[in-house]
Amino acid sequence: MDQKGYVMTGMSFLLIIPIFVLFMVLIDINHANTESKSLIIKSDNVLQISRDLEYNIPRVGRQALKEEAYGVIRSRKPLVNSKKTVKENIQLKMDKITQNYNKDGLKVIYAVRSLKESEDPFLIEINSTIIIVKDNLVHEQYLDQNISLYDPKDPLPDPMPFVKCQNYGGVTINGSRICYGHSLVSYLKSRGEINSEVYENATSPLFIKKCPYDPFKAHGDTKNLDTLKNCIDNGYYHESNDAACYLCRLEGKSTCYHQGMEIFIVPAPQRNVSFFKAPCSVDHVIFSDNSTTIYPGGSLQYYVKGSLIFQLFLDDSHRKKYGLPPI
Amino acid sequence: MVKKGLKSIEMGQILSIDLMLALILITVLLGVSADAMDLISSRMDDNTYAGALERITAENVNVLINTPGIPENWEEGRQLMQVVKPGLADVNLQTGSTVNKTLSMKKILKLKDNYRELINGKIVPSGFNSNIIFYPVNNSLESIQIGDIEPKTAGDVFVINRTVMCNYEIADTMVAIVSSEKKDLFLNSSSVVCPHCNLSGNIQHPYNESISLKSGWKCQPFIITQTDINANDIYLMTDPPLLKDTSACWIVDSTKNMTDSREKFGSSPIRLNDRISTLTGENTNSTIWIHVYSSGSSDEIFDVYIAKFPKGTPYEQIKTQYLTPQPYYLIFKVWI
Repeated sequence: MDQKGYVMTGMSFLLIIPIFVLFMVLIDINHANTESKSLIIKSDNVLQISRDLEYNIPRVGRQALKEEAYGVIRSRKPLVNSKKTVKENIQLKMDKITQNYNKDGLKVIYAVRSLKESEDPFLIEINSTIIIVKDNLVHEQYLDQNISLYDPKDPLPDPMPFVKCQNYGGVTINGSRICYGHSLVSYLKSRGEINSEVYENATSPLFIKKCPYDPFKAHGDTKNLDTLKNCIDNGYYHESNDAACYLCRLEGKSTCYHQGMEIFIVPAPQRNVSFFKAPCSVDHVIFSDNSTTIYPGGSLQYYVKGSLIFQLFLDDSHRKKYGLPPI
Repeated sequence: MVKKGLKSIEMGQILSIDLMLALILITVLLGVSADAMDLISSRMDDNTYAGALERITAENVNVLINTPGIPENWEEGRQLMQVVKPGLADVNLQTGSTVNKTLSMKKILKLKDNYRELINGKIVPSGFNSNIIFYPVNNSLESIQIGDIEPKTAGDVFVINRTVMCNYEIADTMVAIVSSEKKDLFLNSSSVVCPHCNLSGNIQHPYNESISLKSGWKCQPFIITQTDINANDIYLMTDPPLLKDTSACWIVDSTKNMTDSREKFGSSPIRLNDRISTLTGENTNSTIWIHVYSSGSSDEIFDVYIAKFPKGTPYEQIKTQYLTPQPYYLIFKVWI
């Protein structure tokens, strides 16, 4: 302090000004740098979440379909509106996933826009919207994906036979096949079908598997019908205009106007052929929703082992489709 | 008044000598600090610019790696490259979603052919040079360099490193019989009922529902078309190429022509076109079966693949490495 009471002289003050200016510039640059780094982190974070959700949607979709299918199998009650139920299940599962992200100023919104049948009956289309908000950064994405019905590691079951046979004694599961016991005979008799006894202890595949024998005419291109035998052994499903799609199968329907899939219901092998005609061994015919459309098929012996005769009953139209000899 | 030789000045002065000296000193100091500030400011400008450029480039490289581009199938070349927003991420055609951290080799090669049109002004600001180098983790594969050649005297060079997977897509796996316990496809191959299971004698391949490793046949069907046969070279390959399992053998047949003609695996890929062509005959589509016998010993396990490569693919490119995505180091360089 000088004799006049000043803490610093004017000259010292002038010297300090540049230091202040320099200090402020430094703070400003540092702030800008921090802000840009924070934006990069936010952007990376948002992109990563979006990719996680994108990867999870088909997986969660399959899981929801599987849960609903086993729910129908356990309860023997079909879904009233399978699309709505599966959609809600997917939404619930995805909400649980998005909840984990909703912290630290992050907001993730997922919505299933629609779930619908695809032109390929082994796929289901799912359309979703993802919105991710992080402070002033907003990421909105519309996704159109497919859920594959066939996964060898985790196959989806066919719930339709369980619903159809529930009032006729029910069906049981044996490994990868559905065993009808006496239920199919009771069911067919209740619908006034003749020769329904051939379906005593009949079986059909439990899991959805796409048939590799394409074109289907190849099923009949061997003398011993080895291809047909192998197709039946593996329980392959075939694309069909008349049969029900997977979403309609969850509603207990055997036919629908979507592109569907059909499967052979295989009578138990017999020691002698007692019937040459019986209801056609195709699921959408036997379980036809319209009582007038169960039509008969002629016996087709596709394999003989010792005294056991393995046969199907197929009409000419299905024989033609699979390249098999006419009745 | 004169004191000790100095003359006293009684008249008023505007500036004392002390003040003048102080002002000179302050002026010098102000000049020096202004100069220092200017220097620092220009350096900061440089740093800010470099930081911004690096940030923009890093962000755009992330976009390049993580998105398939717009349109998604831009590598098919249906649009003018000027209207394409490039992205290299591979898309799973079945689910329609991008495969995590996996790049499509077709997109990389298309980017190589149209580098400047696709990168300049879209990924890297105009007026800058850049290149991308893909170094394979697996030494048996070749590195790929696309873009400008970096001069030895380049000034500031920004380098961005990432590790990615590259899906070659030069070959399509038609069928895989994976024996390794760790791999999931084993379940698939073991749960299929082979057409040979209904036969008797040596030709029979008994159905084995168990997924445990044991000696026996593993069989898988695959669909082949005349177009596949005519447009591709179809190879049978093993991983590792040289098998320890001396009992290992294979059969390719169809339900129409079931055979027991077993063949041993060699150390190099086996071309199957003629054999498959005979089995397919005149049919446009056919379902063919591959049957593989293995000892089941855990130290002799091997995987078998049948894959189609475009006709004329050099024989040295017929490798199992091209069937699955391979890890690569991606190095992106930008310079002025």
